[in-house]
Amino acid sequence: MKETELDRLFSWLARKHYPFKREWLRICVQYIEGSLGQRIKTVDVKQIGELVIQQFLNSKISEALDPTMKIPTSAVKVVIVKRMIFQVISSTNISTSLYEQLSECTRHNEDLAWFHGGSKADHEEENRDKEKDVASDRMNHTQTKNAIKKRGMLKIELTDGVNTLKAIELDEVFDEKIMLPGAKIILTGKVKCRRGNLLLDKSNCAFLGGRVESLSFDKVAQLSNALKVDLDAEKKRRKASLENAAASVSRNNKKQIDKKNLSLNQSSLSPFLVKTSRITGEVTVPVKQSLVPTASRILPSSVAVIPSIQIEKPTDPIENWDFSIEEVPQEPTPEPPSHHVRGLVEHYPLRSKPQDPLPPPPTKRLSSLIIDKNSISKVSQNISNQVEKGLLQNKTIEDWTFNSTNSFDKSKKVMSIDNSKDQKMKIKELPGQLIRPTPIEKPIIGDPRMNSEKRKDVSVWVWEDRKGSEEEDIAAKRIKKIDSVMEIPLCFVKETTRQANRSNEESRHKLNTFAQTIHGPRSKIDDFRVKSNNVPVFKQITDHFITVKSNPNSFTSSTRHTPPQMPKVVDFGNFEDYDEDYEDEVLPTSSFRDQLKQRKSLDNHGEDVVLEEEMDHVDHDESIIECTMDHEGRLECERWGLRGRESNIIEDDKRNVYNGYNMNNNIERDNKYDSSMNGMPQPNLQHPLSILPPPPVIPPSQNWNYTGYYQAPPLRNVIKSETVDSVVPEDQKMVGAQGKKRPNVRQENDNMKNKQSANVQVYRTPFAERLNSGDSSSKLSPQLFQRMADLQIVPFGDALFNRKFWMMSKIVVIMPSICSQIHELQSDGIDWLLQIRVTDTSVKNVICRVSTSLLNRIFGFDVQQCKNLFNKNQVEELRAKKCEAERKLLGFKRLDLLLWVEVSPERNQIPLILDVKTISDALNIL
Amino acid sequence: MCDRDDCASIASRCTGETIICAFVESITPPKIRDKTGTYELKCPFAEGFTMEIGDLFLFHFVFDGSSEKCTRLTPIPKMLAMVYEKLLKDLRKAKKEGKMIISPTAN
Repeated sequence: MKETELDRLFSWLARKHYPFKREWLRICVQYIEGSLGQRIKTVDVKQIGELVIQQFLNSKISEALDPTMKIPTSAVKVVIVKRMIFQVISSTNISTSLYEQLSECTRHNEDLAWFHGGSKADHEEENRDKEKDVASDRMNHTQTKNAIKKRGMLKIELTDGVNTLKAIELDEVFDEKIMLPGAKIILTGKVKCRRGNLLLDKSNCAFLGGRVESLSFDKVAQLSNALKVDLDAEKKRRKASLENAAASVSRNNKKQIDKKNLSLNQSSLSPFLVKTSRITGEVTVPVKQSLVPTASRILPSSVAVIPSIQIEKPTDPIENWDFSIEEVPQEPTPEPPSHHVRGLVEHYPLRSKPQDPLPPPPTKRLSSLIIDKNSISKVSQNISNQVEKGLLQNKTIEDWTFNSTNSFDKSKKVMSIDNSKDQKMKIKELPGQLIRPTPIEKPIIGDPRMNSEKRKDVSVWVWEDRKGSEEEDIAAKRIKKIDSVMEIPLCFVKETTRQANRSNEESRHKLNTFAQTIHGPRSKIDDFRVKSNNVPVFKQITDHFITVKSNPNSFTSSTRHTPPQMPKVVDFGNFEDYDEDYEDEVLPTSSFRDQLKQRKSLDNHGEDVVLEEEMDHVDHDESIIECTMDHEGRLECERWGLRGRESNIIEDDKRNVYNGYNMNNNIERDNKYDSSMNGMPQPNLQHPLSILPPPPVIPPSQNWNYTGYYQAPPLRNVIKSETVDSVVPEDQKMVGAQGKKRPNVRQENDNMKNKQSANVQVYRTPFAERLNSGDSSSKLSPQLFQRMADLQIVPFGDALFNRKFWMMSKIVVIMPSICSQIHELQSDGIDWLLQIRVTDTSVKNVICRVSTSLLNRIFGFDVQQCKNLFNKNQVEELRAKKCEAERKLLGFKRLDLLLWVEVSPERNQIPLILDVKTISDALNIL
Repeated sequence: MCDRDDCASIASRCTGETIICAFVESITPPKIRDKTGTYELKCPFAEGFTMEIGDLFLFHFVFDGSSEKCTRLTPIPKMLAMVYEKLLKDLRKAKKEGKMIISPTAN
């Protein structure tokens, strides 16, 4: 390149705020020319300039650039307005401690922060305050969310080639991962510099990129140096300990060798055993004798050598010695007090002096050695005399052990000693530290070894317990009864009973018959009582959606629980019966309380209905009873969302006003289908309020939408008569059909009870004929298309665009083309935290949250279970749970998914994925 | 956005990402077919599922102008071929009539 062109390039780059050194620029251009070869002729100066900049970004700034100005690093406050380029030397996150960053870099164990949302130390802190668990969890919930978003503040060390200064980013300007040593940044606006610290934000700087390999450094080493932590300390310690261990092993070996040389005849099994020559039987090394007293003595020297005490030589013949093997002390026993020894010596003439040589081994068989009964009696008599004299008092536990009657009790001879004396002696001999302030543990009744007095004592104890608690103190008995036995609290009583209690005063008596007694923690029950006085009865227990049964033979919907059976059979010809027939089927979202309310008013109208009997018969599904307002709203929203595209606003309004009509109509037809399936007589399906003839029976696959809800026919088939409806009381509409459909309802109810699972799925497999995936008949095409249409799949973009017109959230069914998980599964201790990106044909990368209930169903476990594992420090199990969860989350990578998404009208609210299915499942294809 | 294609239209695609529902014609070389024809992939099939010739799969392709990449695939029952065919038909119809609301920056 000619000089003129180089000048042009130089000036062009300078205008771009790249004041390169001329020499570096020349070298760089020559390098580029060499790289491009002949193609350099087709490249203009600007393109060369771009290439030069690229080279600069990966070069050292000190070699390439002349700094524009020298920044006074010591100045208190300077505002830099020039566009200057700096090179990153290092960057440090100053929002977390260096130690934590170092731990993060050097951590080898699996990080459990995905679960507890913080460091282990934080969790331990939480454990200390378990009483505040819920509150702290909720706080952590928000903190965790913030922690996910916020990266923290970076402190960057910069250089302009000459000067070195620091910068602090006030916003999250840079990506920490690409802030590598050698990267370049440029100041684009007014930058405040305080005492050599640049204050950067998004408005005054930009990241140019690049890196210099030669400037890269080990972050771990940097952090450890800053902290003055020796990371190899553990290795060094282990090495030192290994060396010490090796040295100690060698020393021990040496010692053992020496010891072996010294005592070749000492047995290695026991210090009491000696080795004897097999030939001569001689013991070369004298046996060491310890000063352990014993009440007995083992004569066979081959077994053990019993150390002797300083007592007199026994004068009794060897036949009087105690040969009981079990009395041989296994460990040396402390020497008893001298007076005790003296006493023993006086009355145990079988002792020998320690200086005396060992007596010869017995020549008789042990069985032939009969201890003289009189001598034992004499010994025991002496002991009792000593007790009376107080010689055996104030003895230690060792004395007791030594002088206990163990050695005598087990002998048949000693059993003949007077029990009363023996007992007395024991009581007196018990040392102070053995006497408990509380009563002695009760012996087992019936133990043959227990003497009669003890048995008597035991019976007295038992009697006293009973007497004190129940028989004597009547007041105490009453208190105890109240304290331990109580009525079942409302939380454990079925909803029917609760409703009866509320709605009908007469049923209160009946309710008492339901009341059972339980034993349990009173505090919880009392808490519930307090709460039950304050909160609405229909408290939200679960946010699950209602269940729809899939079995056609037991076609029941969890949304339509079995209405209570009425004892009175109503004439179907009556006009009211049509209403009752119509109202027989309960809305999926209607509560049982409403039914009872209607029933109560029905009673007031003179119907001969016994509510108590209903209560006996009715056994409702709890998941239905626990339906809440929120649940109702969701269901209503869902129904609208799924049907809204076809029906117009008027129809929706009608549906809203006559809430449940469509569902009733559907269920009515469902009953018809059910009856036909079961061979039962079909009920009269003609709606009393309809003017047009009832709709024809449609195959179930067309009646249902495949989200689990019944697809209602168009409303034009049923024209509601306002006048008639206003005349007929609400409570009378539900009477007749119950009697009419009782057998069917009972059957459905039984089926429902049998198939109701605790893990309620929001959308069950739809009630439709299951298609075999191998069947490729063309006849199935219309059926599949119909089912697809019933799914009411909407483009996600449509829902997101039109949500501004909505009043409340809607649940829409979308068909994503591709889903991708944004981050790994996390939990805050209450909910799962998972976000995925959803892309379909109308919108790309929409961030959606996945509901906790859905994840619970996918995983098969919930957060609480993991929390329990975490609290128990069962890390392996928790890790297995995480692996299982991650494996199951791979299902989101499928390309044939359908998502049920709750979309809020508010733009800032992230859509919530409530359910997910494959299209095969949604269409009920096996 | 992720478009939908068939074997005929995917041959002319050079950018973006798309889903195609097609049968596996051959594994080596990777070739797929549907009613509109056969398409030979310029990249290997994505891993993750055992493939057999004649299976119906959903394929996700990413095109970057010069190359294509099969990133994911999912097996589906064969009877869904006509369903996806209809989905593609409806999508094209909606695009043609301008009924689709395309909002790439939804949130």
